[in-house]
Parts: sequence; C-alpha cells; structure tokens
Amino acid sequence: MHQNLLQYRRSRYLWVAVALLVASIVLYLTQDGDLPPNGGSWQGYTLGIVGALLIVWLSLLGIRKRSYRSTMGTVEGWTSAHVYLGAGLLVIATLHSAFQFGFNVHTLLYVLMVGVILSGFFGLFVYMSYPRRLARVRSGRRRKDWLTELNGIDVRIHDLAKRCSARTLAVVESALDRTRLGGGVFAQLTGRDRSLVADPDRDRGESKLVANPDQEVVIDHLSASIPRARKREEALVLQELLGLFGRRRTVLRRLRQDIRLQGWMWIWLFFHVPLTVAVLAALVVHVLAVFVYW
Amino acid sequence: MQTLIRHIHKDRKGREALDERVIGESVITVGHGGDQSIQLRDPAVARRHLELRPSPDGRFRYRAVGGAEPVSGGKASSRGILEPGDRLELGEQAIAVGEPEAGFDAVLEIVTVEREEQVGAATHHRISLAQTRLSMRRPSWILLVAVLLLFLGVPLAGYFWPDLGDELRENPLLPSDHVWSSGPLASVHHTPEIGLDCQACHLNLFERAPDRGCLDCHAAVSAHVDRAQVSVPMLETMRCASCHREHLEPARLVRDDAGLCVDCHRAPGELAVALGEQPLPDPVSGFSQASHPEFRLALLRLEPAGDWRMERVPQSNSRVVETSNLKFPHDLHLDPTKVESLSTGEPLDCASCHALGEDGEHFETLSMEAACQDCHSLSFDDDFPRKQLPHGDVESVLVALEEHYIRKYADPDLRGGMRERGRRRPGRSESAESCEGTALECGRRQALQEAMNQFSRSGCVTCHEVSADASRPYLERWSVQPVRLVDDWYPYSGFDHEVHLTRSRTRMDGEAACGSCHAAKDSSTSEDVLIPGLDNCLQCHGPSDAHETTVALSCRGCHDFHLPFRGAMKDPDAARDAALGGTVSQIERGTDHD
Repeated sequence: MHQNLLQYRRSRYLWVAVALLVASIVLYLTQDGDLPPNGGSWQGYTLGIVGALLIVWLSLLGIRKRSYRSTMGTVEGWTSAHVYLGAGLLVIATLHSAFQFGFNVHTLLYVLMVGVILSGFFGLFVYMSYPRRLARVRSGRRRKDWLTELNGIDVRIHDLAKRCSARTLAVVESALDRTRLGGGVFAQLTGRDRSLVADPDRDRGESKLVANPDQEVVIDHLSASIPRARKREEALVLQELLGLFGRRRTVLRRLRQDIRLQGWMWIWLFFHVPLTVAVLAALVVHVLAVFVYW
Repeated sequence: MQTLIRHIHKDRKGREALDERVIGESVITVGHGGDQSIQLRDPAVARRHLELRPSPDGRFRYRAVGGAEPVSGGKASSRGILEPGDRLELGEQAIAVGEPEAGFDAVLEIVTVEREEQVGAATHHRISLAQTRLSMRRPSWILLVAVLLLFLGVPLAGYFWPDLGDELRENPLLPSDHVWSSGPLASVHHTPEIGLDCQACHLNLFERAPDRGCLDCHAAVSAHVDRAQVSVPMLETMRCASCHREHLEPARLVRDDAGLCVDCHRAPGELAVALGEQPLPDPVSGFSQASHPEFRLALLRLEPAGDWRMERVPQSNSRVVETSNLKFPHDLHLDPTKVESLSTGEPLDCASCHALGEDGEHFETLSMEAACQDCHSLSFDDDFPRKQLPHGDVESVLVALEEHYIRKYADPDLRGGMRERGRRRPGRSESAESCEGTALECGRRQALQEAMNQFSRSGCVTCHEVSADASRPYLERWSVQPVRLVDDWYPYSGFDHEVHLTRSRTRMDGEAACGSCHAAKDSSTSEDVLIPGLDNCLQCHGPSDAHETTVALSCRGCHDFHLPFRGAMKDPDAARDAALGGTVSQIERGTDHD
C-alpha cells in the first residue's frame, strides 16, 4: 500500500516534532517563577530562535520542491517533516509568546503564522482525502481523456446537428457554445453548472437564453422532437443526438467534479504561500523591533 | 486602420478555400462566437478568445482573454507583440503576420495547422485555478510591502521625524512605533511625562533602554552599597532595566525573587571587595537558621566627645546592652498591682507610651512630656504644686530652683506662711524652712537642699544617670548623662508591625501580640534589649519554598535593594554623558552586562 506523507519512514518526523515539543514545554516551565514567562527570558529567546529557524526552514520547502536536482533528502521526506514541524511550530511560537498578545507587530506575526499553519492543516486534509475521491471521479482515466471524449462528442454532435431542422440546429449549437465548464474561482470550487441554451420554445429569430443545467433543456427538447420527426432518418439522427448529449452530460459531470476537487486541492496554497511571505516579512520586523527599542 | 485578413481553410469536402476580408477596426477579436472579427470553430477557442491590435508599422499587440494561452515562438503567453513574419498558434490554427501590402496597413494570414489527431484534449474552458485571476505572486508582494511599510517603514519615519511620530501616536489606528511594543507599561509609568512617548526611555535606536531614561525622573534613587566601603564592579555596569523589566504581562517592575539577593549574597567575596574597615556581609542563601546570618542590632553608644555612634552587634553577642542612660524598668510599669494610669485608673499597657508611626514599622519618638510626665510630675514645692522644674537642662533647673526659693524668702507673706506652718515634714530638713538669714542666703540654701534632693534621691535621679562633684560650684555641681533611645534597631530591614499585630498561630491581638515577641514584662532594667532575633521570625516564617505550615517570606519581605544613607545609585550626569554618545568607556571595557 502506498505510504502517505504522515507515515513517511514510520512517522520519523512525528517523533522529532514530539521531542522538540517536550523540550520546549520543559524549557518554558523552567522560566523564573518570579518574573512572568515572556519572550525575553533566555528560555523565551531560545524558543524564539528555534521558532524563527523553523519558519525559515519551513519556507524553504517551496524552494526545495522545485530543486529537482537536489540530493538533500527526498521531497517526500521534506514534506513529511514540513507537516509535523509546522504543526509543532504552533506550540513553540505560542510558548515563545507566553500567551501575551496585543495590538503590535509581534502578535501580527503570530496571527499570520497561525493563518499559514491552519491553511496548511487544510492542505494536509485535502492532500490526504481528495486524491482518492479524484481517482473515483476519473474512474481510471486521465482528465485529458475525459476532455478528448468531450471534444469528440462535440464534433460528432455538430456534424449530426447539421442534418436536423434549423430550429434543432440552433438549439444544439447554442447548447455546445454556451456550455460552461470551470470558469472563475467560485465556479470551479462550487462546480455549479451555469450552462445556457437558446430557448427551444421560442420562435426562430428571437434568441433568448435559458439555463441548461446538466444539459437538461437540450435533452428534453431532443426527446420531445423525436416523436414529431417527419422522416425516419431524422428521428434516427435525433435519437443519436439524444444518446450523445446523455453521454456529454456524464462527461461534463465528471469533469466538473474533477475541476472542483482539483480546485480545493490547490486553493489553500493561494493563502498558504502569500501568508508565508507575509510571515517572513513580519518575522524580520519582529526581530528588528525587539532590538530597535531594546 | 485597414487590416487584410487572409483566411485559408478547408471546406466541407476537404478542399482548401481562401477568404479575404478587410477589417477597419482598431481591435480585431478572435473566437468561436459569430460576433467575432475572426471566427474559429475549434474546441480550444473560447467564444471570445483573443484581441489583436494592429499598429501602423505592421505589428500587432495581442492579448488572450480565453483559457488556453496562444503559443508564439514556442512559448505560451497571454500577451505579447507580433512582428511581421511571426506566428501565433491557437488551437488548430496559426495566425501569421504578413508584410504589409499596398493599400493595407497590416496583413493577417490564418491557416489551419495539420495535426495527427483530429480531436484532442484542448479546451477553451478555464479548468484550473492557475487560469483564473487568482495569483500567489501578487498578494505575496502586496503583503510583503504592506507589512514592511506599515510596521517598519512608517514607525521608523516617525522616529526620524518626531512631529510625524507624535501624529502617528495620537491616532491609535495609525502605525506608530507602538506596534513595536511587546506589552503594556506598568501602571506606575502611565504618567503624563511618559504618555505615549517610547523615546521617554528608549533614547536611541538599537540601544538598550539606557539609565538616563530612568534617571530623568528617578534621580534620587539610593545606592545598594556605600562605594567608600565596598567595591562591586558588577553593580557599576548594571543598567536600571537589568532588574526593572518593563513591558511584562503581568507587570513585574520590581523583582521579588530570592535570586535578586542570593545570587550575589551567597558568596559576597566573589563579587565584592571591602575597601574600608567594614567587612563584607555574611553569606546568605535563604531564610533559615542555617542559611541566614544572625540579625545585627544597631545600638547607640555615647562617645566621650558627646556624639552618639551606631554600633551593630549580633543578637547573641554579650555586648547586646542598650546604653540609653535612661532608667526604666518595663516590668514595674506593666505590673497592674503597682502602676496604674493617673488619668484613667487603668493599668498601663504598651500603647500607653508607644505609638506606632505612620510607616507601620517605627514608633513615635518617646519624650518625657508625652510619655512620662502624666505620672512623673516635675513639681518640687508642695506650696506651689503647679510649679514645675524645666526638663532637659541641668543649669536651667538649678537657676529655676534658686529663683523660686529666693523669691519665696523675699516675699514676707510667703516667708510668714512658712514660719506659721513650722511643722517638719518627712524628707525636709528643719533648718531650711526655719531659716533666719536674708532672702538670698535662705533661698540659696533651700535651692541647694532641693537640688541635692532632686539629683540624688527622688527627682531627676529616678530616671537619669546623674554624677555629682561636691567640689564644684552650685551651677556646675551635677551633670546628667544625655539620653538617646534607639529608634531603628534594624535600619537595613523593614518590619510591618500592623500586619504582625495578629499572630495567626496563637490568635493573639494587641497587647498579647506585642508581648509574644517583646519580653517587656520580664525586663527589670532598661539595659535589656527587647528586640527579637532570627529565631523569633522563624517560628512562623520560612523560605518561599518552605513547608506549608510556615509563612513564605522572600528577601524583599524585609530588605530593600536601594538602601538609605549610601549615596546615589547612579550618577545622573555620567548616565547622560553615556547616553549622548560617551560610550567610549563602555567600549573600552568591552562589556555590556545585563
């Protein structure tokens, strides 16, 4: 069975993180009983230095995973360590702050860091659970294969529709043209089908678009047209179009779910990465501020 | 703007066909929609996919708005510039820019690229987040710049331009240097002088809060040691803020931990050198019989020259004797069968004489007038019971006696009264009252008689140490030893009498509480020192980590760091020099202790 991130080398980095946490908590508790615990005691400084080094190292994952030639550990190992040590950072930084918060750059750094870690937890969750769902949606094929099938269906539908009545041709062509797949961030993440089609009930000339979720309107129109066909040949063409649109509906559903799941697997990074940059900036200011007004 | 569009495509029967059109618009749109300038029926092409803007020199600027990015020169890009001769591939088509031909500003040729696969996976739909407006780079830059600007740049500007700094600080929504504060100031520093001004204490960037910031207000802080007696190099290099830590939550401006004292006093010899005759203090490592030295009482000794000198004597020393030159038996005064208050008729108690001062530690200085005179009247002549001798000056007493008796003998009425009474009374010699000489002779004789009585039998001598020299003249015959009571037995430690008036273990209060530490009822002489020592404290107190049946007591429960009579802790002028760049001496020392 495939070994996941968390189980890398028998969860080696889990134990590294646990050891680090135990050491940090012990260090925190040894702070002078008289002065309140704070980031300025030697224990607080030590926790702060460990936290800062962790932040810098955790940020380097973005560079390491792009350095394909690097032999400095495997990306998988780095990522496993990234997850465990990143979670550990939450505790270490909290101990360094000694639970003292205020409207200042120090707390800003903490809040940004918590944002990064929480988005990371979300990323971990989708990386752990979504690939399996994605595989189920794709049922053994690649996204590319589904797109190729969709394009093939569209070409075939386009060719067949030319043999139908002008009304049906217009409806079918508008259904192809106005099919919405993916789109903006919101559309990709919700997977809502906002496809449109020319209203089949309107007279020719007046083109009014109506919603066509799951190709329902065009499918209804085609199935209603079959009994009205004057020639047998036309009925056969309509019949085939109906079958193609049915398949098209399935393919579009799969692709929509694929896009949705894939979107969620990525969206957190759009928070994780910019927030990380903000954390690095705030870290610089935090360290400087401590020494600017020493 | 005239653009020639040359569209080469295959018709339904597979034959190549050529369409030529001229477009006069400044924006040429490409897409599969019927309303586009150039319509391409291709699944990779969106309804409106590409905009081309011709320029007079035959070049085109293009911008893709659809999902799939066009490829130019092998590179996919959503925008760029096409020179004559360049090709832009979009789905199954290539759009080539031709050399401008006569009559046209620009020429576009659209050809279909032959591909092996008729139907591919290309799509004009935007199916990944990378194709949306979402970006990691843009918000990263925005956040980076915003954080650096708001939390570093703007507050720093406020430091260099103080007027700007003041304005920033006044509006809590603007980023002033307050964003650098690691916590609120202790409430004692919420003063108008400090207010919101970080630079009240932090004078220079990247420099630890110097002493000058503190000394601007706290100039009078007294030292820990007498520099003439002890040299402690470490103390000289410490900053105020080494101990007095600000911005802590909860605020803890004054250290209260044992480490403040015992870190150094565990082995004073390692850090300090005695310069004078006084030895270094004994080592202290806690508060117990073993770890704390015996208390040393401050006793006052009268020097031959007449000055009082303080001598500090350990509790167990045989020289622990009070030499106040006052005779006062506590046991007699506290015995209800022998002494009672003349005014109330009640027996005396401690508070009859001793009044606790405002500090709760020391008692009001005792005086004859306040404490003794109610009972011990200074009247001397029964004929004049309201006539009192002056107190405190021997010569005044002797002069007053002479004046009184000479006047008495000079006044015929008074003299006659004395003769008529004529009776001898105990303690009075017959001759004095029945004097037959002049008023001066008789008065002087009577005064001498009364002076001898006062100084050697029943008056002054009751309480005072008196010496007499019969060979000296009347006014110089007697001398009374000066009296001085110790008013601070332990000048370098404190003790709150009020909180000790109730001793929880014995549930005593008031009088009994006094007696539980001060054995006054058993003291028959004023030489007894009634001040308890270490063992008395240890009955209730232990070190801060002691057993739960003892009351924890930190060093600062009794002792202060800044002690009286030892000069100033810091020299404000020296601190100012140091703050104004005179840090050369620090650099030379190469040290910056914390």
